[in-house]
Amino acid sequence: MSPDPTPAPPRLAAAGLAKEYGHVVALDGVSVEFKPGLTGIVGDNGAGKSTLMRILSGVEIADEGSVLVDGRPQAFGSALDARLAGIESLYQDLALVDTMSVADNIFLGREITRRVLGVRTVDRRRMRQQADQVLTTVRISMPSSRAGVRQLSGGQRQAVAIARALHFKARVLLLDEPTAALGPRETAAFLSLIRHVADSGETVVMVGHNLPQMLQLADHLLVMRAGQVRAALNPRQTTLRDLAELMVGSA
Amino acid sequence: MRKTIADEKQSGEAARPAGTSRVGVLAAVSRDLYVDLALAAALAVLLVVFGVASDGREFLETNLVSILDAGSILGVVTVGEVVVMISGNLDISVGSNTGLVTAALAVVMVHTHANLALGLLTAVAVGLVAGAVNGVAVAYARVNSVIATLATYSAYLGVALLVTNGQEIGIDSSALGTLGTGRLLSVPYLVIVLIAVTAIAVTLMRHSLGGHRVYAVGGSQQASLVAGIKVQRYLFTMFLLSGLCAAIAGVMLAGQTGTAQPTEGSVGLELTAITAVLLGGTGLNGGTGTVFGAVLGVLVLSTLDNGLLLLGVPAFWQEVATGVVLMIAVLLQDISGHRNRLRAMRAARRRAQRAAGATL
Repeated sequence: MSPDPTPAPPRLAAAGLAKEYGHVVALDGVSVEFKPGLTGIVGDNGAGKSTLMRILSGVEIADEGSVLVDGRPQAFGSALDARLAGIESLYQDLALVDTMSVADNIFLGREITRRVLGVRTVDRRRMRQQADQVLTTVRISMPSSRAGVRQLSGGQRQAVAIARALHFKARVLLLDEPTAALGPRETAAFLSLIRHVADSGETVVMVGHNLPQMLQLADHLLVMRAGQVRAALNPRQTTLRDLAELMVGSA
Repeated sequence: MRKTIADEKQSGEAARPAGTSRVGVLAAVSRDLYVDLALAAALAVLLVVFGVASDGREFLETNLVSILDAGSILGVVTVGEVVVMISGNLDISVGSNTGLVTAALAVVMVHTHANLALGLLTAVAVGLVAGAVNGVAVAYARVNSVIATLATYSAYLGVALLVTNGQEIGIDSSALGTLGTGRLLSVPYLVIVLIAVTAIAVTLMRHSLGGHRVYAVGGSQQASLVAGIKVQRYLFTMFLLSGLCAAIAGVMLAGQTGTAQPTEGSVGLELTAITAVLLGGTGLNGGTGTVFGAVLGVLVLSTLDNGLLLLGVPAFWQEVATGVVLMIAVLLQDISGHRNRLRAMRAARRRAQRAAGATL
């Protein structure tokens, strides 16, 4: 691939990230720049994919190296720090409040308020209106922004989390095996949503196990093995066989 | 049917009730409404039954007010309990905190020649400090709230007995007496206090940002933390508010009885308050329920007590009746929850089958 001519630093980059758990080296000096569009990360179990994602999302702290947002090194102490820097993660448990509505969840922690007699009150009507707007862009059918999250299917719950990221204009979206718990139809709908988000110029990073799917879906592919990024590939010029060989290390 | 509901969605506020539970729209809110309506209906039925069974007119004239009067102290305590429970915790110490406040109030008044201002100040301070101790233990030291408040339940009761020497102390204050037994346009002051406390709590929990976030914290501490909500601060504040309610209730109790008895009228309040909260549709897991429902629960309980007393039913049977009512109410409330769980189970099974099919 030709180098990007624009001088702007990437929204998200990693520089020399290293992480050990006891004697197990999970990450061994990972430096990578994430370009706009969808970057897929593949690798065998234990290759370090999830560790990388957890460090990028602020859940874990690297032993060495740093995470850069817009070229500036960050010191994430928590998932909240990463979120404030514009890195939105889709967790496996999705971090939704089951007892609240879709709209309440999209605006959780960033509610729309207005002052009534000096008291900050929640403007539920405006939150619902804006939630409805962003939900239509998400294009996954949802009963209503008033529906309780408890009632939603797995795919709908993920769509809520994506809608939250989109509404607040997250700089980067991190997805760790987002379709693992979805049925085939929901997976298809979810992947087309992710493609849509990536096409609109967002930086999306996604870990996945399904290699044909990743080849078809991603704009850029990273292959990880033994805690390192072994290859950065263009999926258009890569075969399934190349990928498999890079992953197991026989090439 | 389903189509039309979806179409009506655009019309916003107006299209709400019929069939909404089917698509899960407004599930949480409509459940609250359903509980409130059921409780109001139960209340109406109780009033009619007791009214007919006794001499109707007399019942309505004298007992309606005395039901409210009897329930007012419990009601204020319950408001404190319900906000703690919505945040996902339990406060077992509210009864002894109320007793401690009453005791402290009496002791200060006795030693200051009935200085009411100083007494009230002490009452509020004691209630708040007691609430803060619970709050620190649960929110910051991460002690399970049942354990923490069970410990302070015992401790506050002990301190109340210590400061009063276990004796009844007379409070000589006409102002307090007026608060406890006086009326404004035939409405007891105690009832006015309950209405005021309830109105403020209902409004704040329904509409304020803080109230909204208490529901979020009670629903999922994890999700709230990731969303940047200061979870510990909210948990702490709810215990502080519970302490404030206990302080108000303690002052009301002192006014009503004219004496401070460290245990009489306050011990056991916590269990009745929790009963009322559960009657009112708030669960033990947090994130659900309403202040209004809990206060309706109080009214149902005190109507039941009052009516059975009026009919000459022995006091022991009143306890049995309270238990039966709670059991029925919780079973009824759980029907919808039960349906949801069944639906979720079926969906999970389908997902599992699909996943199994996909890997084959």
